[in-house]
Amino acid sequence: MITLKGIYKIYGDTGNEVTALDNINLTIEKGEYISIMGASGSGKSSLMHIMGLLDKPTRGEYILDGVNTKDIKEKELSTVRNKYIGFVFQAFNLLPRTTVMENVILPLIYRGENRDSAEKKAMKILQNLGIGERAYFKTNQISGGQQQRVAIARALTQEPTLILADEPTGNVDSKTTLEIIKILQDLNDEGHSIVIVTHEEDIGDRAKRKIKLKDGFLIEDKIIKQKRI
Amino acid sequence: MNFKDFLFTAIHSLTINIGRTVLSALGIIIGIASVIALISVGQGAQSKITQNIQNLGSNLIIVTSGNAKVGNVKQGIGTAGTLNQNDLTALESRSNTPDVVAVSPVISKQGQLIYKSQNAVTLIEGVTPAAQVVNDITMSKGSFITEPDIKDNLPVIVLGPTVASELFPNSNPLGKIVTIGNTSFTVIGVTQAKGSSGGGSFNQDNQVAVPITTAQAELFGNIGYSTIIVQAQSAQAMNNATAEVENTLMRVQGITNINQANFNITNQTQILTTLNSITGTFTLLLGGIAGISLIVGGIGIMNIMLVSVTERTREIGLRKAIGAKNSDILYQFLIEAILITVIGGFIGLTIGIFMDYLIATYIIKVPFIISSIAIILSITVSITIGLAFGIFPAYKASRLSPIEALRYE
Repeated sequence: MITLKGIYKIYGDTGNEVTALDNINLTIEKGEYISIMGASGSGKSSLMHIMGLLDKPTRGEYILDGVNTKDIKEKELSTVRNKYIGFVFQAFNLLPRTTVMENVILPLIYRGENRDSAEKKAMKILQNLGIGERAYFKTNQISGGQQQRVAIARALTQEPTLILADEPTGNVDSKTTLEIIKILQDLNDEGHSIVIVTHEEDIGDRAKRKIKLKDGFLIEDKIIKQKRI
Repeated sequence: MNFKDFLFTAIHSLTINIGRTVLSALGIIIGIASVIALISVGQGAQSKITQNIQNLGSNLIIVTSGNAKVGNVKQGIGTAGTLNQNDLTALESRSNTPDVVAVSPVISKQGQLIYKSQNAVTLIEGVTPAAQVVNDITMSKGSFITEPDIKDNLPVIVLGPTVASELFPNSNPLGKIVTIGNTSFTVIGVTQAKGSSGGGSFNQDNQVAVPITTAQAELFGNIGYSTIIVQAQSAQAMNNATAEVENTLMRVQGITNINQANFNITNQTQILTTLNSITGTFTLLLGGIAGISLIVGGIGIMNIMLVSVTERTREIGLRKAIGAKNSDILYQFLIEAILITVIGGFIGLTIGIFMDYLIATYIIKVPFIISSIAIILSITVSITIGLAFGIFPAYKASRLSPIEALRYE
């Protein structure tokens, strides 16, 4: 489903270069649940940005669903992201003072879907995540855990090929962390492919496959026994 | 994303930050309101002036005598009083001036009228009966100067309504005796008000008329006419009549070059054109000053939109990450800017019309005219300002890289 071949990401000008990713090779199949781990500065954010089509690798090839992403024009990247990648961010990144519903249907609106059918889809997902009754609350009127669930719901409305979660539990308490982990686990059980970027071992162990980065190198890539809730 | 969605998003972001929206619209509101008010008031003043000039009578050609000189200093127009009886007779002959219907000689001076304890300083005109026709005068009481009054140098006087009410606040002026200097005049008539408020020489309500012969004999001495007012048959005949008057006067005075003439000929059309061009320039000037405030308002909007883009960097990043194209972000911010200016424009329009009404009705007392040009202009201008000053912030927003934007704190 996803293949990364010889990916390099180099920042800075010639003579002053910082190699954030050094020859990364990786294949992700449908239905996988992968954690990408590493200390800060290890390159995990760079890798996530490339996988999320927010950034382009300096060298190497990224093949997504059989399409070499090199061939995607700058203008079309948004459309491709909208179709393939569902983001869940550490800081939730919901629109402030806007209803939960507006936030969740946003990707569908950008896709050109009409509001009614988008709201119907969104409501179903919100109910599945247990926050159906919060649909018409403003995002600043709900708890952090609920906000992250809204963010997950927003990613799910896209029906993405891959859910990309960047430190999704970084901003919530430990009880809510477990709730979020449970949701991701359930989604993976339903067949969604998930990549979670984290620096916490305990969160990393909740995946089925663990990848470790250090100074831009991929130093570990192994199937692990999932620590389930 | 369709237009409805863009509009929905724009209205939503504008209402979230209602205070900021109002502040940014304020510049446009003030700008549009002042453009509308000033242009409309200017047009009101213009129509008032036109009306005042037409109140003088229609199709008039005004011959004024040259300037008197004291030393080498030229005095005011008409002060020489060089137009005389020969000029008048020649102009009255229809064989000389076939396109003319009436000729009205005038001598005039400022003077004081006294009735008992009341007095009024006003313009005293020595006229003939022709003045009534030419100046389109209707009487509210009594009659105008007649041919016998002229023939016999009778001491009679016709009052303008303003003078009449000053001298006779509570009584009927007809038959009363007023004095100018040492001469007593019997009031034989009061003219109908023309509603002129322009002041100066345009105010026909604040003047009096006596027979021209009486004026020469009793008041001013035997001086020449300061003005001869000639009425042409029709508006179409104005040019011919003007030429006939000029040729006749040159022949009578024995000159061949108009530059040597000691008289000036102006026709009403020229005066109107000149005055209209003056008020037009004035209106344009006022509009221009107001226009500058519109531009300043536009810059205000650009500033606030730029702040808004910076403040919403993360939002822009997120929108891009989940599928907003550059053009989606561009339109979103552009529509917000245009919405501010259009709403501001309509509010400004309402305030401007109201201000126009107040100024026109209560302060400078000119007709209340809503200038349709000003309205169309201001709406077009506000949309244009929204576009012009919104495009840069919107473009800046659309070019933000999603990673940078998401990282922005």
